[in-house]
Amino acid sequence: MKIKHIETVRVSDPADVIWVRVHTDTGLIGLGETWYASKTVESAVHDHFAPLIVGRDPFAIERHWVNMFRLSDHAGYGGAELRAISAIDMALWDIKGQAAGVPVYELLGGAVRKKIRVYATGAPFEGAGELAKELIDDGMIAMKMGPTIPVATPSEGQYLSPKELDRVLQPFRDVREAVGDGIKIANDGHGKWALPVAIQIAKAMEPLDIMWQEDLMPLLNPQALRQLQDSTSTPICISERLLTRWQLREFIENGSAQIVMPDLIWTGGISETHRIAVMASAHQVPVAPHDATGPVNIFACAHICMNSPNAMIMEHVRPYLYGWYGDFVDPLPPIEHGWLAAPQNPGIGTQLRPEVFNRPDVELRVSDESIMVPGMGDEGWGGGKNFSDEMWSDMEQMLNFRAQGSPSPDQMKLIKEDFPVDLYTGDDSKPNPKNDEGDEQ
Amino acid sequence: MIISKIETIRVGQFPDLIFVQIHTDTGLIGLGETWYAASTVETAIHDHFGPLLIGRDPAEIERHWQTMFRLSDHAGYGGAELRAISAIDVALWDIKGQALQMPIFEILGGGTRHRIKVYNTLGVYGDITDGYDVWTDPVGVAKRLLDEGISGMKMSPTDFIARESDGQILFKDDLDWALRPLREIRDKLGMEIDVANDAHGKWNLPNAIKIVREMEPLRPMWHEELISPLNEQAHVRLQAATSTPIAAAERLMTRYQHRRFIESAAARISMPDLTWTGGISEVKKIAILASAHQMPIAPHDCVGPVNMFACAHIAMTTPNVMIMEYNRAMHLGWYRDFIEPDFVIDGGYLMAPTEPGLGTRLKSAVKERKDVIVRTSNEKAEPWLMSSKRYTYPPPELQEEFINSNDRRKTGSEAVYYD
Repeated sequence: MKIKHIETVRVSDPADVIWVRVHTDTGLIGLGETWYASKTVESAVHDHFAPLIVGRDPFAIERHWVNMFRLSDHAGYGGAELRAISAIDMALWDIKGQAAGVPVYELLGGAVRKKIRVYATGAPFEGAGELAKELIDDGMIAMKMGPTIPVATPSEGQYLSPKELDRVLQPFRDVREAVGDGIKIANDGHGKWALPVAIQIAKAMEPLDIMWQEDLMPLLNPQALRQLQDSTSTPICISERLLTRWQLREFIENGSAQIVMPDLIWTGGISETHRIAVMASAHQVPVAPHDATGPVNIFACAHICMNSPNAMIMEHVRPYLYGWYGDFVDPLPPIEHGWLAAPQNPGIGTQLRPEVFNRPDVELRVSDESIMVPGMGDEGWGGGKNFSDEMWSDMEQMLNFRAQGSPSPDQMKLIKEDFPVDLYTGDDSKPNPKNDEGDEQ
Repeated sequence: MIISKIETIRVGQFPDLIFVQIHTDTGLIGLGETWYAASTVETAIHDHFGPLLIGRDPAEIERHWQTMFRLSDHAGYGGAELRAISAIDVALWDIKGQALQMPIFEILGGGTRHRIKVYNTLGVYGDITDGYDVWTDPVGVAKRLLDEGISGMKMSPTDFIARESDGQILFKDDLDWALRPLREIRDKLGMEIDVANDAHGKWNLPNAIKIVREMEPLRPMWHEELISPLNEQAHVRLQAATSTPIAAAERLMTRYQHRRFIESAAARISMPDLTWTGGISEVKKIAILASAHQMPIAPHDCVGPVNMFACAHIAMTTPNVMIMEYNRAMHLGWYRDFIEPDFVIDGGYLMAPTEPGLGTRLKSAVKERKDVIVRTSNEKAEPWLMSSKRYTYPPPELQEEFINSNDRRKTGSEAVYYD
């Protein structure tokens, strides 16, 4: 099977969401999604990553992930490029699942559960108690709100008076008055506060029995977060904005995170979220996947949750689920009465509705085989003349494998010419073509 | 699909080797293997873990791993029970691959390479006497490997000289005697061949430090188990004493033991044994953990042919696999008596398996051998761990009352997978 072309789909409202569709020569189409700065993601998908993917085998997900990550990490990984990788990764798993005829969780090692609890994110400042009752009636056992987020602005998160702190606790008190201990409540701080204020907030909320304190501080320093966790009995939960296992690692290992919340469509897709869940499991840390973004993400997270013994609970936003999600995907995520069920369709389990492509505001972009490149653009550094014949043969084999059929002998010659400079003796008598593109020698 | 029968097969000729075949109602058979204390493993498979698997869906590998691990970890995980889990895990992946018509590495995320470099652990079996020859004709052995395209080898030059004092006293002239073959290789062949040093945990820490310093100019590929991996802090000190990588080796069990060696920089290479540490599932997890620390893994093999296939799948899909162990004497000597097709070593590389699942099967002739011991079981049981009759649970009528008292308890009870 080969990837024929990659298509992105976005609309004016919601403007931040973008879908990636990976088309294969068999007719199978893989669906991925990400959210935030969708135009930049679109450009990364087509201009940066598509040339590595189009024309190649969609089954080699791990290889594509590593190739895309290395390409982006040449100038520091993260941001829109990692969101593009996340969406592409998800689409490739969708293809593999469809080809095998099983839901993606079966490929990850099979299910450890039939369904996972969801919690509802978002509550009004007034009326949180009423909402809690409604949620319990709908089968929900947990909710999340963030009343401290808006009050951080006046001081840029550096100061919160005792009076204001007391005021922002009101929605939590309303919930406890309305339903007692009948529901768990998480607090989200969106990374707004300095350490002393974060500690103040966590301590003040302790009597209200908080499920977790999420992102009270910016996630920039694991040592600072460790101080917060040491100062409160409430579990600290972090964070959708930590990217890949390499950023989450320190927070898990130094004990600052008792719960981790990767955002699958930001941190590197199904592949990377699975790896984060495994790493957390070695520290007996549970995983509570993030979602406030798009419907396909919930499907992808469902596969992670079905397969990961340390999955705790899944986020969802009810106004989105019952609102705009239905305009774009069919079927909707299987969420009912407080539970997210195992998706049953092969692959990721959903697809874009045909109407999406007829919307007046739809922006489609396609990259096809005309953008194929021969092999992975390995660093055009010197050393070529020092390579033994065995090394050249190994390199040829690896490049051939990566390119699945290409490069041709002519292309191989071109690649060899990329290695004319002797790195060890500094002999650069032959010009290095890559240097013209700004690579330093 | 459900698991209908579990079968173990072992032979008198190799008393430590045991194969497990998991049979399903569709006729698909999954093959697994482990090595060491085979009769104890056999008992663990049939009396302890088999009843958790019979009648259940083989596709739910992660669930079965968890159930088996928790059952065994009730009294401290490890040993024969973990080897039994490892063999079963491999057989379940074999079934999944066959059912989905994909080699296992495709299910694990697809290939990042189509072959992996191997090094030869010098062994002795039948006509192949690499392990003895290296003492008398080290350059000849190295050249023979290089001719086959194999550019790395592993030897254990210090095992013998550790014997007298049980590793407590090291004489310089003893060490010189033991290192003579390696020095001869370096004199005659330079760095043409990479050589790893394995000591099977024979030395105490001060002698291990002496050895790594003495061997520094010989530039070994790595030092493996100069001391037993019982304490990662001792390994930290050993690693700090040398620029040569220390390999945290095969006797570390699961990600939970590997974690401490990885995170404390006690080793620079991780070497899990797939058939001991928890199977394909667990080695994949150890590789992920190591990758977060930019640490390569070099899977262990000195056990059996099925392990080579299982490790091949890990190696094809895992970017941070460095090299694969290969025992030429065992492979050419006896592996092919047991499996069909054989794995392919080509020009110093282990090639990607191409058949669905694991890529090999146990030869039918094995079960016809005179020295074969076959045991099968097909009894289903409720895992006591998940049983509603657990002694820490209230009496059944009180359980019912609790579960039916509200929706949260009722729907939660329905979500439990264990039937």
